[in-house]
Amino acid sequence: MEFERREAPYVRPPTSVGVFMLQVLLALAPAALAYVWFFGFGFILNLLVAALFCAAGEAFMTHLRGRPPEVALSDFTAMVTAALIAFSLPALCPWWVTATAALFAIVVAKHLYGGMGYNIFNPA
Amino acid sequence: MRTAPTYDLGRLHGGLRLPGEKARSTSLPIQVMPVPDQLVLPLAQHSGNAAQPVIGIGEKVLKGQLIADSDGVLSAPVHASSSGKVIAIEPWPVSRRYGDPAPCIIIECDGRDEAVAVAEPVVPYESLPPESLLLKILQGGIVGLGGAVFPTAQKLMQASTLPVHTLLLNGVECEPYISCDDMLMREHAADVLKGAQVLMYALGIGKCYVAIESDKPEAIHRIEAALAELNDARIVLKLVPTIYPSGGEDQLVQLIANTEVPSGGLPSDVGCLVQNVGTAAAVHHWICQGEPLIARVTTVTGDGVKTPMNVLARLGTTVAEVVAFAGGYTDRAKQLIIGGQMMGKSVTTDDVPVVKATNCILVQSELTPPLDHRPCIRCGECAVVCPVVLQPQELYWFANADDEVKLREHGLVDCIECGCCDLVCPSHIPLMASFRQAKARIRELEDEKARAERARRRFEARTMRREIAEQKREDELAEQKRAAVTAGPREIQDMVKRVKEKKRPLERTRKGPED
Repeated sequence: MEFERREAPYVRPPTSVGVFMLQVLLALAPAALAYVWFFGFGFILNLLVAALFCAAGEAFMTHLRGRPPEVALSDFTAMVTAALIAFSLPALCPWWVTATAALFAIVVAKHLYGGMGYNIFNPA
Repeated sequence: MRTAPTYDLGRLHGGLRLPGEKARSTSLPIQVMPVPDQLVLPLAQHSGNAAQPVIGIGEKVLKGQLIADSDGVLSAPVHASSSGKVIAIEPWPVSRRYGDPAPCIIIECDGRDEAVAVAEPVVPYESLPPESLLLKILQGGIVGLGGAVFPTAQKLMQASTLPVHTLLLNGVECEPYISCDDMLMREHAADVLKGAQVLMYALGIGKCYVAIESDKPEAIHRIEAALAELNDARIVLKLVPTIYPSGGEDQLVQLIANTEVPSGGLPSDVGCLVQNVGTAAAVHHWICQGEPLIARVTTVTGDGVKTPMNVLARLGTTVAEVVAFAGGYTDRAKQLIIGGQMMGKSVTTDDVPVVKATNCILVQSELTPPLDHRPCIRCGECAVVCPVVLQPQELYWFANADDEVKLREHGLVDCIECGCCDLVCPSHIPLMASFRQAKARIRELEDEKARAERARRRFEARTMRREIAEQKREDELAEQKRAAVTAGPREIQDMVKRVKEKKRPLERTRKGPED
């Protein structure tokens, strides 16, 4: 009987970058609740705007770089960036400030410097 | 009480707790496989040089007869696993080369399983001087049965040059799925301990620890019973926690002797000798019973095998025959691995024979998913689990840059290729494969440097020889010139006289017949 060859170790990988990033988001959840308690629901809106524009920026840049956008979005690094932007800005910030911050972070600070793993401002 | 306390174990950095998957193959006792119709014995079943055949095609051989002798300093002989006729010496797929062919001796068995007559009767090993005992071990074809198949006699000879005070019997078997050492200890504990005594005598070692992982209660129980029966106070049982890869040589020395093996060094440098329990049993069988290494216990397991079990198979039985003996393949057999799940070899065909290194035949029901590796996110998980305290993320960076100076500085030569870093990497980077390549590349560069150095030395020697010859010729010419310049009228007259003298003998002979 013939078989195909594969590389060791012969195990399905137990973890992935997506799992790591979701753990980061889980760790941020209590802080998010505290933020809403102290500063109001504007934080949630900022979060949504940042998430939307981060995802759009990531999809656009990976498409420009000739890579499949689903792969880049599936590792949730853009969502972590969005969460941190929302945490850094005031809760009553206008939506276009958040949107600009999100786009700048993803397009300039991340992808123009090399993308995940190679950008000097954030190791992830 | 034979069990030593465990609070004095050394600390192992990193490592992983992996699901053992051993329960499925340890429910039955070791099944002895019948001798197959054909035996395929590769010439290279050990690390070092392949053995050279000493028999020809068409010759009849008996069980235990020497069919290939060791070639060079680092080599081991091969013996026939049963009686029969040698029908071919030709390439055949081997697991060492992942299913590619390598030279093998093929024997057609006659079914009689006749043993060869022993040249010298078996004597008690205590009556032999230790040096000749080491030579005798060499003749038995004994190699490390833990998987590295290093020729045991040469390992012992190297250790005998250093003050070795502790023998560590490696019954840890930390890799998932493999259970052959567990079953060997359950059923042949006495053989293992007697083999340890032979080794201790051969090297003058005063203390022995039998290391077993704590997830093997039956084996622990049997070894304890055998120790009580043997009543040798030098041998003590020691339990180690169930962490992969605590069964590695250097890791075991760290755990039990609490000493770190130096970078690039061996356990004998810190006074320890590590031997697998299977190797100890093989030494006992050869030295005390006269049977060379012709069979071994192999685990046949995985979702792709109907009845996982441990078999005692003759070396040379094909994997296909072993799997058939274990009930055959299930309909979910997708991948064949010789070895364990972390460090095994994925082979392309089941025609490969069982050899000295075959500790496990693992048939998995799903192919390892294809690589989708992403960039390194510098999470550092790999450095947390590395048992050798290396930094795989740095090594990966330098390996990609082909920077062998930095690789050496960061200790790539100490990597034991256990696969822990590979398993935990979230970006699914093939770290083990890239380190193997980097190591091969470094060896290649060192080879090239050595060759360039030799060529340079030869060139320099040649240039020097030429210069000397040149100088001699010039000196001679200068001498002649000086002689020519100082020749006066008296020298010329001498020369004329000499020429005349030379001519006279010629004139005399011309008058010949009239004399």
